Amino acid sequence: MCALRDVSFTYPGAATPALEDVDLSIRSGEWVALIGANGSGKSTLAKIFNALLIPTRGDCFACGFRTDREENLWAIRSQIAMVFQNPDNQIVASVVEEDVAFGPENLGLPPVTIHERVLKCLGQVGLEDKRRTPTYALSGGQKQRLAIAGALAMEPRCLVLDEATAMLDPQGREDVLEILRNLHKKGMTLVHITHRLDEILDATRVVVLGKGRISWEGDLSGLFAAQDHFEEWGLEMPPLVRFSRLLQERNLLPKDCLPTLKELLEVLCP
Amino acid sequence: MSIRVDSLCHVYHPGTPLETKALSGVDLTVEAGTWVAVVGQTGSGKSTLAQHLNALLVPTSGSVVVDGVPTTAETSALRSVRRKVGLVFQYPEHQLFAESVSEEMAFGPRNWKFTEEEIHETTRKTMSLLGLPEELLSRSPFHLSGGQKRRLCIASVLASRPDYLVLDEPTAGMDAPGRKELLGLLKGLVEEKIGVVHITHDLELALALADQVIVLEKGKTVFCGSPDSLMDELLERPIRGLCLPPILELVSGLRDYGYPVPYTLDAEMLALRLEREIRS
Amino acid sequence: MKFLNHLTLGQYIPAESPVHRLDPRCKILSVVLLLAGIFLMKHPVAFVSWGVFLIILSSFSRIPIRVVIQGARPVIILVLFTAGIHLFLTRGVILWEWGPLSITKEGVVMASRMGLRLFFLVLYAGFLTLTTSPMELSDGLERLFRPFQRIGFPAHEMAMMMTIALRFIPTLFDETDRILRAQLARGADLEHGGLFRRMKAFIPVLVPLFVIVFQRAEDLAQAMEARCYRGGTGRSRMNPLRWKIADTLAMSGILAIVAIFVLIDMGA
Repeated sequence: MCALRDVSFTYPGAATPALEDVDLSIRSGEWVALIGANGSGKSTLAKIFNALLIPTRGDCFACGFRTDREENLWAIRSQIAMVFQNPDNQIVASVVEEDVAFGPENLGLPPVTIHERVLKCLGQVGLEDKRRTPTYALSGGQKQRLAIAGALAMEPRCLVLDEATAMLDPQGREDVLEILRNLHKKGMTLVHITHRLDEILDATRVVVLGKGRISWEGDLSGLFAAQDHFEEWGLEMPPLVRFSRLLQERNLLPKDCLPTLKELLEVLCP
Repeated sequence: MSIRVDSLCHVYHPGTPLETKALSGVDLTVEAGTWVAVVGQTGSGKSTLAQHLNALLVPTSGSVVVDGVPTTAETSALRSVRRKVGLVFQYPEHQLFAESVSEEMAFGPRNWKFTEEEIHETTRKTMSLLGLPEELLSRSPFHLSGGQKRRLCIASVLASRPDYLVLDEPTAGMDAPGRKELLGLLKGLVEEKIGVVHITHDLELALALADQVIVLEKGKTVFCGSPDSLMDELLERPIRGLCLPPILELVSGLRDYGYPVPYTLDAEMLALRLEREIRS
Repeated sequence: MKFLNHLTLGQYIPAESPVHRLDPRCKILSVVLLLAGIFLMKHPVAFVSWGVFLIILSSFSRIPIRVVIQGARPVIILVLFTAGIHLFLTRGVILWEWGPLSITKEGVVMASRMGLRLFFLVLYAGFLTLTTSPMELSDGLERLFRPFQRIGFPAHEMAMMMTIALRFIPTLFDETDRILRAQLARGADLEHGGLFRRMKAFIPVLVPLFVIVFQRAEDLAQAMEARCYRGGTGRSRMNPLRWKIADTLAMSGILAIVAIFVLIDMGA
């Protein structure tokens, strides 16, 4: 889906690179959680995936296309869609359905197709009954769901979420995560950037970024086994995860049990 | 020396089709040198309450009295209330405007007619209280890092030497290390005898820091007491409008199943107690 | 802040009516014709006929006349001011004098004529915005100006700017309010002092607002690019404008009415 080779990126005028020597591949169908402290380069890396930023060194291939060629931008961005952190700063239209239609309109699709996609995507994010609502009247969580619908309307193969839950309240966060789980089940590739470890519990792979470099890469259980490094990486162990590890150490919990509320209750309270 | 809120009611846009009752009879006392957490979901009225504490809003009914001065007093007394109660909004970076950090710090004190020496003194003291080095004084506030900007905004409110500080989600959007550092610094304010009102939707955070917790739901108080008594109350019955952190949800589930484990945020303690229950 | 509904530009009121269903281009062109006609009117008879037509239009668009007139409220001061200027500054047969001020017979005529013209202008223009959504208006203007793109007029860009500006008005309102409150909480005094002092006091509100706006522009541009936006070329529309027979009939009707009113006026 996406491959970065020796990628470095320095913002114009900056003294130090934001990303250095990053080698990363995203495979189709994965849910990759990209975590790290603020300033580790996560957002920069997200924007490299869909060619919003071009590496200052190294290559990035998205869906087989080189991201530094302008003629590829269209193809790349219709396959890799992105949702940004600030809900307001990605909504273009005054009415919900008009905003979802923005992407398909840019693609020049016929009106009938656009209508179909708008209805389908609003359904996927649970905003069908808000079709004609003015966008300013939506809550933060609803705005992010709208942004996701707008991205889905491009019919992408991969969705990149750049700290999309950072500005939401717990309910909003949970709503977004639920949508992501459904999308992933249907085969969407997800790249989820966050600093909250309680949001990555459905990920198939975890990449830890620190000061522009990849500090660690592996699966969930590997990540939580490396908890001694958390402080150095700027991460915080969620209490539930700590709890499940303690029980696993005392052999009261199977090693493959995921540290989510649902699974813990299923295993401990059958 | 306290803020007393009595049966506070607030109605937005009274008499119009958009009339909404944001607060219905809230009681609260904030003593100097204590940390009070106001917990509630979006729409519970927490932000409305915050604005009453420094007289940005006046009560529709009920009263808010700051060190003996009610917030319905006329302008001069009202301004003294505003000076005593500092208010830091959510994402306060949006209020930065000055050309230099020192100008930003001086804004509040200058409005309250501090002398230039007083301004210099309070700037120095407050910046050190919030861990901001003096070399930042000549820099533009827009060129600071995210964490520094947040601390600068809080410092600029503290520079006016308020007796109370109301913070609306001060750690919103921060990562774990930033959050820990900021809360540590804020906890130091209590030692300076400043009354802190911490508005948040994160119960975990509130419980970890507060002397007193009040829970709001749809404008009404559904709980008021110490963190320990909150945990005790949860043993008896669920509290409306309280979004429990996952670990407390787990405790709830375990208790329903039959394990008499206590309500605690401490993963170690919970693991230990559960182990004991399972093995017995 | 839902009360902003009252302040949203043009106060679009969604409804099902023959006027709502008309193509926005038809409505824009009709309003231009109507405004031209209004500015030609002189005789009281003409004013009456324009008033009657307003009532007829309001029933056709299922919008109560009361609401239409309310649309003129923000501009009432301007109307009165203009009328006042003509009332006191026109020379002629003096009817009433008080010191340097005098009201002439010609002044009364001019004041009422100009005042009423302005009043009707605002009301008829209000019909356009009451019955046409911001997106439709923007689409209509874009299509009307599209032929001028060949000589370099940025029709699409103009329409996109309009759409985005309208979308952000309520958001900016909220943000201004929030910044204002934050600075008030820091002791800012925006009520006392001379004009200059008060203007200076607004800097702590305006600077942060500008910063937000510029940051937003950058973020929004990236978000739009991420959704394959590249200007107007090759763009389609979810609800493309379609000129129907009803639009042709409506336009011919308006043309006829304006012509008739102008003739009545000339004859009287």
